[in-house]
Amino acid sequence: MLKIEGLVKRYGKFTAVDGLDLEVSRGSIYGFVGPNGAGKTTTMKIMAGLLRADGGSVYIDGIDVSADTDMLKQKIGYMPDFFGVYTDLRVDEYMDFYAGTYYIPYEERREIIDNLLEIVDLSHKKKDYVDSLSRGMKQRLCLARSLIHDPEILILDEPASGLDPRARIEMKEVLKQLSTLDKTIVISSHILPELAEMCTEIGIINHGKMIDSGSVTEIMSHISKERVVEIKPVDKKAELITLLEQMPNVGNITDNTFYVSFSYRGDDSGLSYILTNVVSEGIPVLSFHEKEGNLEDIFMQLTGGEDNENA
Amino acid sequence: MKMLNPVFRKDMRVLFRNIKVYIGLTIYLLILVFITNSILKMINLNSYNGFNPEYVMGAYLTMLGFQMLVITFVIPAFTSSSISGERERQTLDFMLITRMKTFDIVLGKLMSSIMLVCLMIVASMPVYAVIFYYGGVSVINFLFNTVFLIIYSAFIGSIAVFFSTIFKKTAAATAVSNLFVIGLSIGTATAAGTIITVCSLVGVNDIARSIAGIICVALISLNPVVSFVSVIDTQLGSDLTWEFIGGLLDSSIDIPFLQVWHIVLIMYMLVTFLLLKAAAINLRPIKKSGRKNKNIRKTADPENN
Repeated sequence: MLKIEGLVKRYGKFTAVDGLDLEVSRGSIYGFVGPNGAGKTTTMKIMAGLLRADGGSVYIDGIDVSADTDMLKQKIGYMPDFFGVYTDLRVDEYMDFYAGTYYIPYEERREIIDNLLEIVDLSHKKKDYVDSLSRGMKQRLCLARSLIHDPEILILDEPASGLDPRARIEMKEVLKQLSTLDKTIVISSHILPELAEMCTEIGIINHGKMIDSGSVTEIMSHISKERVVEIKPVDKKAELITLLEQMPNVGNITDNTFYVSFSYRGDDSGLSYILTNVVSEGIPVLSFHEKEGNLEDIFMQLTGGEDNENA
Repeated sequence: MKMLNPVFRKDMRVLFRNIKVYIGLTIYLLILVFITNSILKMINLNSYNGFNPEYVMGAYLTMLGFQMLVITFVIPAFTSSSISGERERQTLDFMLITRMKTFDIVLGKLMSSIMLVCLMIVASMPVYAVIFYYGGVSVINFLFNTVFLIIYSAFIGSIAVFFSTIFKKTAAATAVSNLFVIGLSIGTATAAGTIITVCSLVGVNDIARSIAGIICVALISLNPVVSFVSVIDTQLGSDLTWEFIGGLLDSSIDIPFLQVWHIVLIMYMLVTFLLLKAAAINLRPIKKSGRKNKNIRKTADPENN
């Protein structure tokens, strides 16, 4: 659906995006994560056609967007990290204006606007002035605006930035709802856990380069050398520990009161092999699960613990 | 159904909700009434032997001059925020990613400025009605001047829109627009004067003199003062501007069927279009010249993912 190859963008001597490659499949929610100044906004602006790349290409459905900007404008909906609104317009007038900029016929606009305001839960504010909306509501209105022309790809640059916890949750709910509408969503954030639960894929960017990409589990397995697993047997705990000691890539076996934990270096099939062996040895298992890694730690590890505010 | 320019439609909504517009309009009307009243009083004082309709035409043309003056300074102040204001408000990016062409965006902004002038003209109607009551001014005069004012406001507005696409700050765009308009009055006259002086000193032949004449006429026609005089000329039946330019060049420029106000309007419309085109190019987020090899890399992934 969306593919970026060798994207480069320079501001003078500073290289904001440095040969970035990215691929997003249709219908997925792609989390674009990186510290401040990593190159997320620049990349997204290039995707949206607001910035010219110094190198590389952006393809939508295999077509280079620089060769067909009309196609790009129709297929992409973009919501920037910082934006303004027309405070003298009412909510429905604001939406009507953007419907006009996409040449949507007058007779079709009311239905489209009503539907979108319902999705972002602003139907009750339809006749209110935009100025009177809260920050969270303005964010949701902006999201509705970016959907006015029914784009296939939605590019959202830090949509939850500056929102209070309640507004963040509301925004998340809206995004989850959008994912059911068969939209391909690229969403950026500098907070990995914020995206982890809603994204099907994640790309981690730093210094303009893609450091890692894949599902959350894949990224965690890439970065976490050791996975911590907890087994809770009904009994035969001693036999379980003995068996684990014989297993390859297993270490740090700890006898806790109700369960046994161990560290493991390997992939999912290796873990499955361990469980199969434990069960086949007649050890009754109540639970077998991998202890969740700390996403913040992983993110810091991947990005070198930097927060490049100046970039 | 043909759609109205969305930018113009939105700006009109915002414009008519802005209390400052009504305050400004009221001040403008009060000044217009004061000027008209003062002139009419003077006419009445001087009319010992009946009423001279030419004085009314004088009063009417004074009103036109006042309106031109207002347009010259109010339109740049109003229009120079058209694009830079969107940028400052952080709404420009939204507009640029839509399907609207940048030319349509700047055209919509210019149309909003022209609409403000139309509002001024319509609001002035009762004052004009007083003038019409005295006679001496025809409806044709009124329509002619209205068309002239609209074309003039488009010209002045296009200057402001152009600078609004260049400068990020509205204050800078307004200042430069105003300076440019003032410069038009002084600069064009200076440039034309320099050409004439050089022609006289060097003693050029007739062909060179004709070319110099055309350049001078083109420059002078952009001068707001000259354009105002040319419009007065045609309504008073005089030919001051032609004689002035011809006299300066020491040659008789006489193009049949072509008067200075024709050239003025043609030049205004031409420059307005060119400035809008330039503004539209300035506004493009990705300039065409910077486009990468458009004939290659058409397909990256045959399976389209």
